[in-house]
Amino acid sequence: MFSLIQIETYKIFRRPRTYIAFAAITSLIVLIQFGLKVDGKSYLDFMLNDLSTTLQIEGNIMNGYLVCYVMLQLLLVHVPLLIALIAADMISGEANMGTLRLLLTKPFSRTQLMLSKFIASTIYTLLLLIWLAFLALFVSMWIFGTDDMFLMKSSYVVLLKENDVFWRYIGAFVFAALAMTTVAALGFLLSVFAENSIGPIVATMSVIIFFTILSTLNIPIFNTVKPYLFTTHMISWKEFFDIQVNDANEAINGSIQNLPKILQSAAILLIHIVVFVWAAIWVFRKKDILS
Amino acid sequence: MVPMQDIITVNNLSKKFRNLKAVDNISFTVREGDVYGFLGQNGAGKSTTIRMLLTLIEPDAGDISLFGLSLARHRHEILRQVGAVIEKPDVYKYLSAYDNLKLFARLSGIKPTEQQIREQLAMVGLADRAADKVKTFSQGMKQRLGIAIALVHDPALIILDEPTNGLDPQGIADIRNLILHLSRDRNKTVLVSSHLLTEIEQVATRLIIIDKGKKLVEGAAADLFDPAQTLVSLDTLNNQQAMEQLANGPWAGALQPQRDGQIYLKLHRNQVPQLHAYLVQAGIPVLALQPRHSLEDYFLQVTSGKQYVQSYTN
Repeated sequence: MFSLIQIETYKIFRRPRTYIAFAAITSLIVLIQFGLKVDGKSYLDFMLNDLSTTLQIEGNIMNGYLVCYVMLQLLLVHVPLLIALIAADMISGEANMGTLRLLLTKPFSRTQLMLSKFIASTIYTLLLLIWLAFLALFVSMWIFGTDDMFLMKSSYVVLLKENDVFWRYIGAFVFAALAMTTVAALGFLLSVFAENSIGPIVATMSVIIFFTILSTLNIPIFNTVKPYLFTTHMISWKEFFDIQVNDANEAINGSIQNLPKILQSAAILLIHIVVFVWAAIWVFRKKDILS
Repeated sequence: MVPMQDIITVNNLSKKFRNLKAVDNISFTVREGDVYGFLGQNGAGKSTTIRMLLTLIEPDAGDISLFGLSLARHRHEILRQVGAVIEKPDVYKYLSAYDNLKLFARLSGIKPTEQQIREQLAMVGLADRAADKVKTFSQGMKQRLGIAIALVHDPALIILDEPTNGLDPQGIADIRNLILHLSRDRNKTVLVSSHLLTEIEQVATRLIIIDKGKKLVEGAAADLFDPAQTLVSLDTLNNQQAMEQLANGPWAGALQPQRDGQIYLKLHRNQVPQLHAYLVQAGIPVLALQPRHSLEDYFLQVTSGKQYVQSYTN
């Protein structure tokens, strides 16, 4: 099994397509960092327009922590496409190339192959997020420096002390890894049904877009299904940046306002991963290989 | 004399795709050391049967045993001893021939040395292209690499499904020689399906012919040609006159429909000299009188393709 995982990971990282995602993330982050470095003040002025009359803000607001948050908000919507490029191709790509039939004449079970492929696509997902974290967080901290983190939410602002931010990013990235693994599992499931790569990739993105729209629509009739949609929970990484306040309305360092919500979202995403992977294995074990 | 082991035993194998019976109650046995020809027209059920032997397709009914073990219960042990090329030899195009071979060797459960991989590539004539990506290979080179992959773990049984597909005459001859080498020099059992009957004829020790999912005949190649049913082709200076003479004489019952402008008769092989004497006596100048016992003729006799060819040529 370990050998199979090694082989599947090796195959992923020998394909030129794999590096499209890394190149796309790198160029996007560099572009945003360049823009904010050159014209960050205008961006901040625009953001703080309504607050400038009521709040006096001092210090390095446009610091690495805020830049990373801005980028995560932008990128975590698009990263699923980059995940789907690989995960939704894991089985369908082999069927398309014609290698699936040769692969399945080798002495290991279909379940072993499927688990190896899923673990390999999860490794890819994690490496992509580590790369994203390195560029968006560490490089931004190096370029923009660090300071307290000032966040504007829809109806309130959050101020996080400089020494209370880094661990939140670790939590947010771990949670994002779980969310992106859910996307990988969905793509993986859809790849079992097709014999070309495009179909499952487009289908994965369509499902995500459809569910995301459903999750964000404020129409009461859809409220009953929202808690069960994985897209509703994929954005719960933001909860790491909401802080509890005491009776004097002072922020409590090291606290998270709604930890149960994070745990519940994580559990729901985990259930989705298990169900998607189990369904993929179940279908694949019964599938006649005619490609 | 050591009795030969049955390498493949198939009993009452069936597979249906929706309303189509792709394989219908087929049974056959491949013995140790056989070069077993698997013949049938396109859509006859050859590939479906082979895919069931390799666990790519689940049979609806029937039993498959390889090396005396049930395929359903001992899949891993069995597949360690099997090498296969299934239709097109598709491999990872973004990897080199060397990397592909190494990867599939590891998937087969072995870790060959660099020397072993290079020897295997040399055996199929790809030693000087080892480092090249497969996407730059011709169809013939891919086919040879596919065979190297099938052989890399030194399997006892080699299954080749249409191994000559897309090959030029030299490539076809290479595959034929390789099959003979594997059988004679390396004592491998080979199951080979092909639509190129003349190629099978030159290598197969035993064969099976299937049609529309059903087995028509199975046996040693030499035993399948019944001398009492020998097809004889006749070419004369005046075939029309010869046809009239034969149709109105004692050989009328042996006459077969004409093909390619030639006259065909089905008779006992021993009757050929008598036929020749009859034609000479009737004053018909004979250009050629040839007993046809090729596999192709036999195949056309026993399959429904015979009707197809006849109606087409008529």
